[in-house]
Amino acid sequence: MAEPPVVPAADSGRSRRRFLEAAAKVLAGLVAAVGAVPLAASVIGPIFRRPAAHFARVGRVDAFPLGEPVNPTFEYRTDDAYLHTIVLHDVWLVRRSATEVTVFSAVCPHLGCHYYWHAKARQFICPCHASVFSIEGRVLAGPSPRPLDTLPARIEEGELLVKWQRFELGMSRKVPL
Amino acid sequence: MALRLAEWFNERWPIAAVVRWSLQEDIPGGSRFAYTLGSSALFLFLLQVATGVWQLFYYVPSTDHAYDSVMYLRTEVPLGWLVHGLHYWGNNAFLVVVGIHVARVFLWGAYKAPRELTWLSGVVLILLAASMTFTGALLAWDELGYWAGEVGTSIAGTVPWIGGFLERFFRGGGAMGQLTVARFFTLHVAVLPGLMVLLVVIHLVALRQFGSVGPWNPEKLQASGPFWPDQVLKDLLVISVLLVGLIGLSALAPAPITGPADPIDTTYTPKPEWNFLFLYEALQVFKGRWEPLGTVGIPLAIMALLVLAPFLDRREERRPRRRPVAITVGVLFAGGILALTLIGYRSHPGVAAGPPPPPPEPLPGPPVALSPSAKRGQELFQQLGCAACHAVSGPGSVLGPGLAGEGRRGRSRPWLTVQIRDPKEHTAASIMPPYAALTDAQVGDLIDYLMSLTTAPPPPQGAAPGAVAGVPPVAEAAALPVPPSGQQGPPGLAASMVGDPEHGAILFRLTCAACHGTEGTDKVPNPGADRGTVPPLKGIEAALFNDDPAVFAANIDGFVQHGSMPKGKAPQLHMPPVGVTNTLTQQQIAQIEAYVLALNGVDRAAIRRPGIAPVPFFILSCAVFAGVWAGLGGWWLAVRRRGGTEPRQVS
Repeated sequence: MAEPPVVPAADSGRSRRRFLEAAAKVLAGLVAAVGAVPLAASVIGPIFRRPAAHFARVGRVDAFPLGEPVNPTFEYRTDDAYLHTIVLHDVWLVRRSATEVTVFSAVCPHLGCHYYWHAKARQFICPCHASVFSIEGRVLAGPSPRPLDTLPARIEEGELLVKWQRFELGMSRKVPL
Repeated sequence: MALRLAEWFNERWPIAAVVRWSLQEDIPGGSRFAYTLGSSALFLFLLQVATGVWQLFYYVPSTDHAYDSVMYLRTEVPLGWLVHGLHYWGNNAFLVVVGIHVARVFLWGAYKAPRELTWLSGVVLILLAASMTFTGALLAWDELGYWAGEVGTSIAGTVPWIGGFLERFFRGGGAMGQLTVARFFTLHVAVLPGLMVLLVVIHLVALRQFGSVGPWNPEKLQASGPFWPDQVLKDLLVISVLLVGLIGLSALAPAPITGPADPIDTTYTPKPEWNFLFLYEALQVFKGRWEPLGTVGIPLAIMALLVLAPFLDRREERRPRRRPVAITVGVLFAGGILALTLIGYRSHPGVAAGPPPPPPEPLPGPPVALSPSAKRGQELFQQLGCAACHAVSGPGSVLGPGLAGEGRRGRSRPWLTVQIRDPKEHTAASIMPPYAALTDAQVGDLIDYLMSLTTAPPPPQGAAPGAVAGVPPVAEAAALPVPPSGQQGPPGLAASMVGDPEHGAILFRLTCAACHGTEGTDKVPNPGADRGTVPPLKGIEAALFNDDPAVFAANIDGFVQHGSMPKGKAPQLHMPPVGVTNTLTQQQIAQIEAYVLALNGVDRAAIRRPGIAPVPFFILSCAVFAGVWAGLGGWWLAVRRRGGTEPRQVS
C-alpha cells in the first residue's frame, strides 16, 4: 500500500486558512441573501394588488317604484390596505320592470357634482353647471361630455346589488378610476 | 471624583481620543467665518433629528389621522407650533446652507484629490436631503403634501422600463393611500435618516483624514489656527444667529395651511415648494415623448456633473482665477438653477376647476330658419357659455331663467342690452356675470337670437295648464328631506378639520356663491322665505359666531352637512344637504368653513394653546441672545485691551 503523500505543515495551514475564509464568506453571503428574501418580498409583494370594487346591497327591488327615479343611500365598505371604513354612498336608479333596473352613479360626469331629479320636468339636472340628462341618462343640455355613468348591478333573491365605482371626470370616454 | 470617573471610563472606552480627534485640529490659514457652513449644516441636521423625533410623540401615520395629528401638534400642544416650525424652516435652511456650502467648497477647489470622498459623500447627502424633503412633505397629508407626492410618484413613473414598478413601489400600490403614508413614513423616519447619519460620519471622517484645505493663496497658508476653540466659537456664533432666525420664521411665517388631503378635489392646483421649483420649471420644456428627458435626464445630468467634478477637474490648481473652465461651468450651473427657481416662483399655474369643459352640445334650435345675425347670435350664445345657466328649450335650470319663448315676453331691445351688459342694473342681486366687453354688433346678434326664440316652453308634465316655466324652486327638486332651520343634525367630520380659507374661497365661488353671493355679503332674494333673502355669511348670525375656531366651525357644520329649510311658507331657495349627500367631501367642506370663518375675522388655524405665543417667544429669544452676544462682545474687548490675544501660531 502506498503511503499517503506527506503534506508540508505550512502548506496545509494555508489551505486550511483558505477554506475557513471561503466558508465564512459563503455562510455570510447566504445569511444575508436568505435574510433579504422576506424583506424584499414583504416590501414589494403588495404593490401589484388591484383594489377590488365589490357589490353592495342597496335594497329590495320591489321597494323601488316602476319608471320613477329614486336616490337610495347604502353602506359601502371601502378598503385601503388595512383601513376599512364604512361610508354612505348613493346612486340614482330607475326600475324598468320586475327584473330590470338601471343604476346611475350619482356623480355628474362633468365635474363630479351631485345632480338631482326634477320630477316635473322629468329630467336629471346638475346644479353646478346646469347639465341636463334624460331619464335614460342621455345629455340634453349643458357641458357634460358624456351620458350619466351606469354602474354594474345584479339582482339576487329580490335584492339589488350594485358595484360602486368612480370614473374619470370631464372626458367623453367612461374610464374607471 | 469626577476625574476618577472620567479615567475609569477612558480606560474602557477611548473618550479622550475621540474628543482629541474631533476637536484638536489645525486649520490651515486660521479660523474663518467662511468655514462655518459645514458646522451650520451639521447643526441643522441635528435640529431636524431632534424636532423630527419630537413630532413622533404626536404624529399618526395614517390617512385618516395624519393631518389632524399634525394640526393638533401645531395648534393644541404648548410650543408645538415651534417644534413643527423649526422642523419646517430647519429643512429650508438646511437646503440653503448646504447649497452655499457646496458653492464654497467648489470655489475653494476643496473637492480635488485627495478629498474626493468628502465631496462624493456630500453629493449623496444632498440627494438624501432632497429625498427627506419630498417624503416629509407627504406625511402631513395636506393638499400640498398629497399632491406633491402624487406628482412626484408620477414622475418616478416616467422612468423608462422600470417607471411603472417605481411608481407602484413608492405608492405601495396603484393609487395613493394608506400604504403610501406608511412607506413615506418609514423612509422619512428610519431608512433615510439612518443613511444620512452613516453618510455624515463618512463625510466627517473623510474630512479629518486630510484636514481642511485652507486658503488657495499659498502665502496665507503659512499661518494656522486651532479648530477648538477658535473655529468652534465662530461656528456657534453663526449657529445661534441661525436658531434665532428659525424661531423668527416659525413665529412670523408659519408653514402654510393647505387643508386636509382630498384625492377627489379637482380645484387644487399643485405647485411645488421653492426647493423643487427648478426641476418643475425644467419639466415644462419637455412634453410628450420627451418627458422622460426632463423627469429623469435632468436630475441624472445634475448628479453626474456633481459626482464627476473631482474626476473631470484633476489639476492641482485651486486659485479660482486659474480655473476659468471649472468656474464658468459652476457659475452656469448655479445660475441656471437659481434662474429656473425664480421663473418657477413667478409662474402661476392658474386656478383651474378641473379640465376645461368641452364645447357644449349643439343647441336644440327652433325649427324656423334663423336670420344671419340671429345665427351669429346663436354661435355667440354657445361660445360665451350662456347655455350653462340658461336653457333655450324646456324648463330652464336652477341658475338662470329659461329663455325658451324669450321672443314672446315683450322685452325691448334696450332692456335686453342692459340685461346683457350690466345685469345688476335690473336685479341688484343677480349672479349673472356682466358681458360689458361685447361690441354693439355682438349684443345686437345676441338679441336677434333671443328674439327668435318664440317657441313657448312645453308645459312640464303634471303641471297645471298655463303654469309658467322658469326657475324651478330647488325645494321641490330636492330628493332628501331637509331639516327645518334651527333643527340641524350633529356636525360631521369636517367640523374638526382645519381648512384653508384661500382654497375655501375657490370652492365657495364654485358651489355656494350662486345663493350666498360672491363674498357671502349679497342679499340674494329668496321669495317665500320669512326673511326674504338668503342669510348673509359675512357678519353671520351672532348665535353661530364664536371666537374659538373649533366651536365656530362646529356651529355652522350642521347646516352644511344636513342642509336647512328657511322659515316661511314656500321658500324658493334652501340650504342643500351637501355633506350627508356626498355632494362635497368632508375635506372640501372644511375648506369652505375655513373661508366662512375668515369672512367673519376668525382664523381656522389659530393656535389655541401656544404655551408661549409665537411673537412674544421670538422677542424673548432675541433679547436673551442679544444679551449674551453683547456680554461676550464686552468680555472680548476687555481681553483685547489687556493684550490677552495670543499671536497666531506660525508653522
